[in-house]
Amino acid sequence: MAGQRLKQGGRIDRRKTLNVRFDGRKLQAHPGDTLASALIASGEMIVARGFKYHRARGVYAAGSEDPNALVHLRTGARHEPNARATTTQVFDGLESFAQNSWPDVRFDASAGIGLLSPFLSAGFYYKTFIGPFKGTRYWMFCESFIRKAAGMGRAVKINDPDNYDKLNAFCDLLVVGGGASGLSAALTAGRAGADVILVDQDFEPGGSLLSQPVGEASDDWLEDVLLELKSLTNVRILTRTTAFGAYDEDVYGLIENVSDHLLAPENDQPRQRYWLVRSKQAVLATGAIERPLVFANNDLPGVMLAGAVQTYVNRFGVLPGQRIVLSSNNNSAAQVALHLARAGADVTLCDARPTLPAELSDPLLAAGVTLLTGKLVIKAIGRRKVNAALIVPVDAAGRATGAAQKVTCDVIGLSGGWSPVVHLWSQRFKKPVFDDNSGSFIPAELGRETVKCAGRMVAAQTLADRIASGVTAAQAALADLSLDAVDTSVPAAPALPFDTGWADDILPVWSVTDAKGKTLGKAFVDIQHDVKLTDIDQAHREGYVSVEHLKRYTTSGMATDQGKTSNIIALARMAELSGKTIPQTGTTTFRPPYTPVAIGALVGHEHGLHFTATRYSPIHDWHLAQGAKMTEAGAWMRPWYYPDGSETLSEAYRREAAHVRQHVGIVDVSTLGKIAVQGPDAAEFLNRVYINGWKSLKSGRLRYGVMLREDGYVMDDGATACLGENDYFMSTTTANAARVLAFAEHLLQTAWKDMKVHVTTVTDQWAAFAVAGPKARDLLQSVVSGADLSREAMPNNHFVNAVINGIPVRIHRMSYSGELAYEVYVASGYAQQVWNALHAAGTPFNLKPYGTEAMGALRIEKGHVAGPEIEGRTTLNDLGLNGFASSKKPFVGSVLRGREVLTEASRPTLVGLELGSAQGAKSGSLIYAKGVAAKGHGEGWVSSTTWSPALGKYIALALVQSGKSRTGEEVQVVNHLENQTLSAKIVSSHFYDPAGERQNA
Amino acid sequence: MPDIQSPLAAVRTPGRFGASFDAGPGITLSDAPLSGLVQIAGWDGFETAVKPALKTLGFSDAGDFCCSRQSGDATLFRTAPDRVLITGASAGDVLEIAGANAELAVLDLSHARLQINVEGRNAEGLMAQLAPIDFRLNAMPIGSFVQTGIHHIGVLIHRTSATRFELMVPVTFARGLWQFIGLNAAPFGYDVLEAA
Repeated sequence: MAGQRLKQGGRIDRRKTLNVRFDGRKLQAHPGDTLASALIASGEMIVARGFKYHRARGVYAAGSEDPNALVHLRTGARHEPNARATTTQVFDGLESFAQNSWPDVRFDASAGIGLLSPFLSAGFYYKTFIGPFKGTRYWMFCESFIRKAAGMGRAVKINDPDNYDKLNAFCDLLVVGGGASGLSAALTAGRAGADVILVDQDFEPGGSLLSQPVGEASDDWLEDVLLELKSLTNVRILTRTTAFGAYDEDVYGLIENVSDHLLAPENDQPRQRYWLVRSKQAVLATGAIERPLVFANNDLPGVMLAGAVQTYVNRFGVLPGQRIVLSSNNNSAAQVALHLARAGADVTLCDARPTLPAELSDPLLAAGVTLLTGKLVIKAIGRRKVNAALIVPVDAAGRATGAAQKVTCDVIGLSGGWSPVVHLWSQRFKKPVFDDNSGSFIPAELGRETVKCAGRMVAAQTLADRIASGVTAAQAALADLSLDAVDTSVPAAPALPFDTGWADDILPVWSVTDAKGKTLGKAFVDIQHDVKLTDIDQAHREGYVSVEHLKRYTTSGMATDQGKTSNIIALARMAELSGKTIPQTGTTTFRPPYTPVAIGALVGHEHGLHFTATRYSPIHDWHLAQGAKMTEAGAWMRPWYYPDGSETLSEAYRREAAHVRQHVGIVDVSTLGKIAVQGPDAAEFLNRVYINGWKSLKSGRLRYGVMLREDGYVMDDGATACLGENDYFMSTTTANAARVLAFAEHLLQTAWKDMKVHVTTVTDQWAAFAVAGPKARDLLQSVVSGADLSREAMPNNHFVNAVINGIPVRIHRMSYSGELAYEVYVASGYAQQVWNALHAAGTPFNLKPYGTEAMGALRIEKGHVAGPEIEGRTTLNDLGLNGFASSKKPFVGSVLRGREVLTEASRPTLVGLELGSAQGAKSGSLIYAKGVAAKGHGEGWVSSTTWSPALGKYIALALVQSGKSRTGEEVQVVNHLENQTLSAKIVSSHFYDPAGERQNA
Repeated sequence: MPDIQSPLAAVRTPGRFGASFDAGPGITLSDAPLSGLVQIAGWDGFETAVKPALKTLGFSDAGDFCCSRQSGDATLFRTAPDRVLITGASAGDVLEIAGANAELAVLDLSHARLQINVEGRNAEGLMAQLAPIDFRLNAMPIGSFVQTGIHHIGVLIHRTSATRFELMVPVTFARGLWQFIGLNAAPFGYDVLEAA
């Protein structure tokens, strides 16, 4: 018989039925259900297929530890793979689908892969990598098939339409876990006035209390505590929120599933919210996860954790089967058996222990439970679901000691003890310690820490113990917060039947085998990753000793559930095989996240346009209005070119560059880095960071400068103006602005702390436009007042303060294009007005804007270096800038630039290339001497390339070995990526107006 | 002089956006150019050197690193041991006197920053989404300020009332930050005001 909904009981609202589907089939679902409970209630036994062998799998647990019930949720852009049915709250319209199966989860064509299991054992991947042929070709061949057959859900490649928020939160005390101990801790701290955040991954707080029958005394306790907690304004209660990571400095990562229980987020709310909580203290009350027992066919649908069966009955009003066999080694299954019997099930309880105390056995027998002591299930029988259990008498190691008996059943519930959820604690501190008393790993005593632990997490057994431990943990936290616990009288623990916990008299059996230690079929340790007990055995035989190696070799504990139900069993098997104890064998390291976290939640709003912050010129909108095509330049958006009609990039930039040479053009250079260098030692500072001298620079003048890194390579260049005795205005390249500022700050705060200099970015304060072309002076002179721009009054490398349309500006005379050119600096809030004024005045001069592509063409024609040449690997000599370096003073990089490797004569040096072809060279193309094979790294590379409107041919800048001595040589220019080989002639990098007559006009 | 052009001119759309609540939107966003912003920096002896300049605006000293000082329309922020920022229309009054002292470095930055105002009953909640700072009133009382990052951009955040924060952001990043703040404000519902 399949699962069925009980007529009464459970914390669901039977008055309302929700439209929930699985693979198109309508489920019986009510508010309060999870998808898993709805699946069981609807008789869906097979809900998934195994990762590797595609074996049928059913719901196994009732929480985030479930290894089986991973499904696809929703359709279209909101599709979500690998969702846990056990933690998915149902909602009207929920569509879910089985994954990793075809054509249907019930009849999966790939199920035959199980026949290949002898070839897919532990280490399969590693062995495939190394053979049988040389190299990885065979592996690559196999991989495509493996990827198709294995795996879990499929993601979609459609943009997620929902939003995800990030939030920073602060509190005195973070309580993780909304069970009895967590609630007690939160209440104790809340009453003391502490600022408390209580988080619980469930949509309803209460933890294991929710698995008690409705109407029991535990409900009264829960109601009282929650009522008071909700009345405390200093306590924030976050449900549907998982604390997935604990980090240094008491930072915790939480994911709040704000809208995952809805068809779609409503009223502009995010789908999920990522909380970064900084808490002074934390109480971890994360509970414990029931451990299974390993035996043959233990993955068959119908095999479940015993506590989960209890949860489905009591919380969701669903009886997973009518005939239920429980297989246990501890006391906790007694309560399960009692509740199942009361719910009407035919219950058989197998217990590994030879006898049970009368206080357990008598009530069970009275309730009609069949007791089989000294016995465990050795095999689940059934093809697609459980229809019987094979039960054997066992010894203390779980080995069969006698004949088997077959008991007909449809569910086998397992309890091999419990594993405290120590993940968060372990992420913060270290590996947990093994507690022999409870047979589980628990947090170590660390002394005075900011993290306290409580409840089942520290193996507290009874409800009263768990409540008390929560209070104690909160008291300790309050003491560390210097707050007094004003009232610790948390409501007394209600009496629960068989409130025994698991530790007393537990018989630590991990697996059930025949007398020789063999299982009677496939017995899975890690059900989600299809790791069998025999895989652990094989790893041991192959010499694996470390648990970390065991984990990686077998992949046990490496799936999305991170081995929540399997890790300790793998360790125990390893310990048994190696003749060690579990503490001697150790455990693996816990790392975040505790449960999978959607990448979208970590990203928040930082994607698409806001992937990084974008920087805009003050006249950005003018560029857009002119139809400019924009391009990214670091963080900036810059006008690339201004197409005239249907012009292409190539057509537009050629026209723009030619126009500058013939008339006058204007380009927005607001993106240049601008740094105020101020103080009595400002000139000395510049003297040290630039290679050339600055002490003689007079006010009103500016000078081109180059700076090196400490290792002697060129870092940046730009012009710096002397505004006054202690006041300089440095410009840098757009790309290196932040780097130069940081470099200067670094020097001032470390090496030169005694210098009286301040450096401040003024890039935002000043907009800048370059006006270039033969008519530049005429245009500017027509629009400015208060300044004489004549050649005599204002030669190159001078600046003057002036006014344009009533707005103060500063005009620098310098040229990047090689034409008569000026840079107009204006306070950024007035930039648009000045830009407009220049355009209005420019009409008679045929002023046109030009973009970065034309600007690049002009500077290449002129042979000016830029980012493609100053790229971190070039020296002053390489770039022909040696002449700027002062020999009379030291400067940053002056010593190390003299290293032998930087002064070799054969180093690539800057040259020009003239291409005779109808195609230009691609940047990055390699240079080879004519006639030699184009192999290896060549003798240099192309750094910048363009069509030269002035020369009417393609040209390029390149760095070529011994380049200066090779003028006139024909070379090959090879683009290996596009199989392009061109012929070029090495020429001077100063293609156009080498004497500088135009810029000095 | 003409009006200072806002970098938000093309992206600021007055109106109501985001979530809808009976109580109305939880956030109001607005912006205003700074009527003045001056930085004064110095070295050893800064506090003494800067006093005369600050005195012209009515400030007795350079202030502390957490709380702003107010005098007339000027607001003083101690942004570093040897550095202060002064905002307000009268901030420029210190340029001359401070500029005459070689032991001080004075800089007019009035076009370098835009003020974005976040106001409303959910202002703390929105700010918590923008920066890793405890913006609750007891941790950040009225008058206090912090220098931190929003979307990795350096900003100065000044709390001027229980429900209002003023953000000084670099003008060239203001457009993107404005849009980023709007995305974060949507769950609270927000109004965008006309340009100041």
